[in-house]
Amino acid sequence: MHIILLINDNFRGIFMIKFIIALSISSLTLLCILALVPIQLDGNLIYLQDETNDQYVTDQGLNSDDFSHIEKSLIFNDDLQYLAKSTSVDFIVSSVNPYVFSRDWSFTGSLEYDSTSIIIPNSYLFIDSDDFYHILITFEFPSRYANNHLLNLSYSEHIEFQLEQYGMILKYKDREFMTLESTSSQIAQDGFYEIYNPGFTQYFKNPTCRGYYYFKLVPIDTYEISVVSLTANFFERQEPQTDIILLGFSGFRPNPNQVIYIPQTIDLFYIKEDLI
Amino acid sequence: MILFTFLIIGFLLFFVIFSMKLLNIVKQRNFDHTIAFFRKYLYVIFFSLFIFYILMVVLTGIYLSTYEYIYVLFFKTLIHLLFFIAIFNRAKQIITNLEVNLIFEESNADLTFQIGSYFIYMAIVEIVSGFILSIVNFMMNTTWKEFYFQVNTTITLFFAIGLILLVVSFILRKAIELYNENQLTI
Repeated sequence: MHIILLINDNFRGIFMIKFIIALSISSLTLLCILALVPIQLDGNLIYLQDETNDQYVTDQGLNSDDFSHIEKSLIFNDDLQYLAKSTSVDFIVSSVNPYVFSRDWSFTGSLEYDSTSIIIPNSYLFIDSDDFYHILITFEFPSRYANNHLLNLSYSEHIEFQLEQYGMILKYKDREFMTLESTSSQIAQDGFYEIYNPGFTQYFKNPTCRGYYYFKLVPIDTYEISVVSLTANFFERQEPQTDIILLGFSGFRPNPNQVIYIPQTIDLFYIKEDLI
Repeated sequence: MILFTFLIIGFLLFFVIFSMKLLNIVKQRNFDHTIAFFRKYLYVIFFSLFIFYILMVVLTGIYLSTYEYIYVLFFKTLIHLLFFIAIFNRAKQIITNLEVNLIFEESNADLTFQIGSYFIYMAIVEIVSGFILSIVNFMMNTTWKEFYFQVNTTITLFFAIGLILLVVSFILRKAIELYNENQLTI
């Protein structure tokens, strides 16, 4: 219709070109506005930087930029003393049986070893003023991925890991927004911990999602904790691709029910010094 | 990410303005101007397509082992690239003929016929290779078996363009016959 008008009527043709140019300029302007306007999450609690918390974490010999404001306030409020940090190690499939090495093939088959996970995990060991050990496991990933994970912990059977707090925040510039609070429902199932990204996506700003698990280490019976050894396996869940590649009239797609996990492991080891 | 978005928007804007300018020039009914602009238009459109397809071939080639069915995309892009090169060459020859005022020539009708045939061949090659690949895929895959069929608009469009061009080539052939008879009468 427009093409016929364009060819037949000179005035309308020029008008159409001007209309398209005006439409394009207004779309570009709209995109610029969307890209530059800061994120506003009304109703979500905003955590702001606290100098006292930052100073406390720095005094512990840690880099305050490695922690979110809520994590720093947690360290400060519980009066925690830093002891050790985890290191990244090779992933080894853990046994489902504690005495005989046996694999769970249904899960092992869905692991993809070649890919690199986008999740950056870390764990820190602290001790509080009552001589209780605490472990803070943190992880970070770009928020544009509606990405979820599974966390599996291996530790000594003489220690009980009590999950005290967990959460997920959205970090944008110097502000942090709470997106998931620790009062939510049970997160540990079948030996795996899992907290979901609420799915907030911002294509132009790309904030980061940051989650944490805060555990208290409680000795079982009369056991006195002298060695802390923790192996934490992070499995990044990759949802199956739903894209169909068409060649002629034939379509090709991967198995839509096959969820793939990219594994990575962090290891934390600490021996109490006065033991020797 | 922002830069990439603006690049795509810029490209689309350029494409729209270029097409509008083409319509404007066709409307003026100046044969030489129109043919000269058609050459420019052909080069811009086909070179953009070539760059896109070559990039796609390279990218799919790099990620061939990474994703499960990327080889299908690789085949598809390769088929399109080869046929578009052939179509571009024929289209270029037609425009060269028109530039030197060779309009009612047998070669023009032949070239139009060839372009139309290439569009139809491209669709047929894609359909057949897709069918063969799905059979192989169905037989080789042990864990996940699926035979998937879907309506493909692009293929239908290729068929339509091909058939229209074949009809145009027949009309042109008839016109050449009439033109030649007319020349003999004079």
